[in-house]
Amino acid sequence: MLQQQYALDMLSKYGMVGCKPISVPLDQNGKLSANAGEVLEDAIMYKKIVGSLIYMTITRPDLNYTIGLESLFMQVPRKSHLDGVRHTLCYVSATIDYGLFYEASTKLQVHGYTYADWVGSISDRRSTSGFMFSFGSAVVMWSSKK
Amino acid sequence: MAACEVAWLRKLLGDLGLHVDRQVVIYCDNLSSIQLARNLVFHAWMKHIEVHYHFIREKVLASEIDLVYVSIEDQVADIFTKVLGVEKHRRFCSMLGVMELELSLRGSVEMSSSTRADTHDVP
Repeated sequence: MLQQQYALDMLSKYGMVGCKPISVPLDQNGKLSANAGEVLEDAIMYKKIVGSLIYMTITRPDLNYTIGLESLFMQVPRKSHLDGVRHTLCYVSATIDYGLFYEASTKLQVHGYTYADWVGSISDRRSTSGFMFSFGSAVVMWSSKK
Repeated sequence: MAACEVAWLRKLLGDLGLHVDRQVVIYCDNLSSIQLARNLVFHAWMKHIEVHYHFIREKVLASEIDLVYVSIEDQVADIFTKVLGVEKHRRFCSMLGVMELELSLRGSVEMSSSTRADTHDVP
């Protein structure tokens, strides 16, 4: 399953076709915080981009956490958040032909993984928990919740 | 939380005609919670754990779920809780089944040997 055409349309809509390829969805060192940097004038644009990205998570569990984090700032988006979203769009552009692959020959077995990041949020010290279940060769359900 | 999802997924697959007869393995990296789920012995300092957390213990007792330790290096669910480094992100992506697909409407998709390597290569 893949959303290549959707991703292409999204990237061209936001003028991000042919941007620098990046191999992770968000910068590991630059943590996004709720009240750092100046407030964006065009909040609607930020909301539109994040909204489009949320639809991408249907076949892209690797984007799930990042987009969840970015959508937390939809109320008052700041410049650093927009940079984060641009970073994510560059990642999408670099991995445009990625999707979920369910292999026919894999033994059908359910496996689960569960993990929690204890007080990982820098703005309010809440934890994030995540789990996923795979059936056969790829995931069938997943969650990332703060 | 994940244990409730197991119950749900098991029922859904059952409705689709795929019965899961084996135990569902949940990988967790917290040894003390695994011990607590397996062991009936209660310590006084465990009193604060609320009743609904004992749900998973019941499932383990009923042999529906098995909790297995996995080291943080192989904990795929980590991708849902924080931003990871490049190498780990790539490895977990392939473990999730997220990989480069060649768009083909006819025939089957061939997996390359590099992406195949760590799909479900779990200890």
